[in-house]
Amino acid sequence: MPSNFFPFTSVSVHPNYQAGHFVQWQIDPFFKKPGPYCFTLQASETETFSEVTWSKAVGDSFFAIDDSNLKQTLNQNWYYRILLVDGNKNQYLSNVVGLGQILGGTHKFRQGAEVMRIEQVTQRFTGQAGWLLKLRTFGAVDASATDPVSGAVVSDNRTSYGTHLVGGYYAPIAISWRDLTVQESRLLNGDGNGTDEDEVIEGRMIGYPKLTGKDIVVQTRTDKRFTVDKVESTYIPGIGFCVVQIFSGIAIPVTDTVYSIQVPK
Amino acid sequence: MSQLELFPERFSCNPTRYVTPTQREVAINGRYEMPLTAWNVQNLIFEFAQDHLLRNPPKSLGFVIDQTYSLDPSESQILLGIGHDWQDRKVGSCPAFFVFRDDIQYNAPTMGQNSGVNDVAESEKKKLYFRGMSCSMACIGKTVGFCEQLAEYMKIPYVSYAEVIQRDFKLRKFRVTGVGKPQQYRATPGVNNFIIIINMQVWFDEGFVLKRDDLKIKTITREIFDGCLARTPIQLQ
Repeated sequence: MPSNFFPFTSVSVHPNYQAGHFVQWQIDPFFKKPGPYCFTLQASETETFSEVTWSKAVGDSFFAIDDSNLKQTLNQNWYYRILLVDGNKNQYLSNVVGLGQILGGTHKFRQGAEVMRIEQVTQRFTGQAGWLLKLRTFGAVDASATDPVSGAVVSDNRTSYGTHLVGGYYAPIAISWRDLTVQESRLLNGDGNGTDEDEVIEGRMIGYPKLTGKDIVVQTRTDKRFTVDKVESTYIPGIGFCVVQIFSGIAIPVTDTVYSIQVPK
Repeated sequence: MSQLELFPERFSCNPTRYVTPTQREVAINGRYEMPLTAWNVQNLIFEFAQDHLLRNPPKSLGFVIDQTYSLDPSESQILLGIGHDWQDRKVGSCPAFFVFRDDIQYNAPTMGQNSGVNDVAESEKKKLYFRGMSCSMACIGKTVGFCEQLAEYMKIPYVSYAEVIQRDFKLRKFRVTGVGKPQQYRATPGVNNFIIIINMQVWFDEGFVLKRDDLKIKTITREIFDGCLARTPIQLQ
């Protein structure tokens, strides 16, 4: 039975006719229900979800990919929603998102989907391989690293990596971006506190997965890790697809515990 | 005599602190003495921190700090360094401690007059002349709670053993004067580490030289080779 509590703060869908449409969601950080969490992507041909045509369980994740390849034309609209089941078997449903709910009809949608395809092709030829470590914003608290009274993080260990949640980050997801600018400097700290190394990259990647501050992007060829600082998103007017994200990535010192997170090579 | 030969423990990753024949000779002949200069007093504070980190790992004192310190920089998960000292391995490290000093103030408590213990035969006049110096220890951690723990951990030897340090090293005064508030420290902008400064005040005599005989009753290790005197050369190997 679905609960009245509504933990989803955003759900978005991005068209990808090759790998599958990308559905991403965010959960309210105050969502404190016990895990394990299981997210399921549900699809329907009607916006009211009178009938769930198919569903796909994705476990504890922040995204799902509709790789069913059922929607290859614009004649038939799919609608998506997310079902969250917590450790107590409570169920929570997200709002409904779809690819065809665009004012102005399918013409605009086709334009938007084509712009995204071009960006994808550009990334394929000019981008560099990397991984995204998406910061967890809700879930089980790492009691060994957290102050029991205030809940503040008191440790920088290798189970929560300086966050207060077990695991710290979701499993790595493959991404691609291209560097627009790279700035590097190494200076002695004026106050005497060691040496400051600033390496700031400005990267351009496709509009999904949506980046937020404190996410980590990993450069595969160097294993260098960057914390996402600022994100500038460009949307297609009237459609709402995020086409491009230009982000500032700040190099993380190699002594940081996040370097102990293994990513595929 | 190079610094490397005098202070092998600072340059070597050998935790057994092997004493070379050259060092032993220097120690036995008593050629080494340490004037109390600003640099050396700062080094004393550095070495207390080093000993504290090696002998009392943070976890053993109940702190939720998994990282450990080692004399081998490649193994150490905690950085301890002197401020304003460029070293590649210190770039952006965290957690980290940095020791640095502030201005020196001179104080002449006898107001330029003699101290009353003049040596007439040698035509010596003795005056008291003190140097006061603030020394600081910067504690840098990834989160504010973590940084608070680092500062709490690192202040222990200086607060608990202030009088012992003062007595053993012939300092006029050694005190922890305060622990600063946590502040955002952007060694790498965007990586919001935090910093807490432990402030210490040291007063010592101008021109005072610490010799190895002065350290016979010391209770805190300071490696100026008096430790090897009690042993025979065979035992040292």
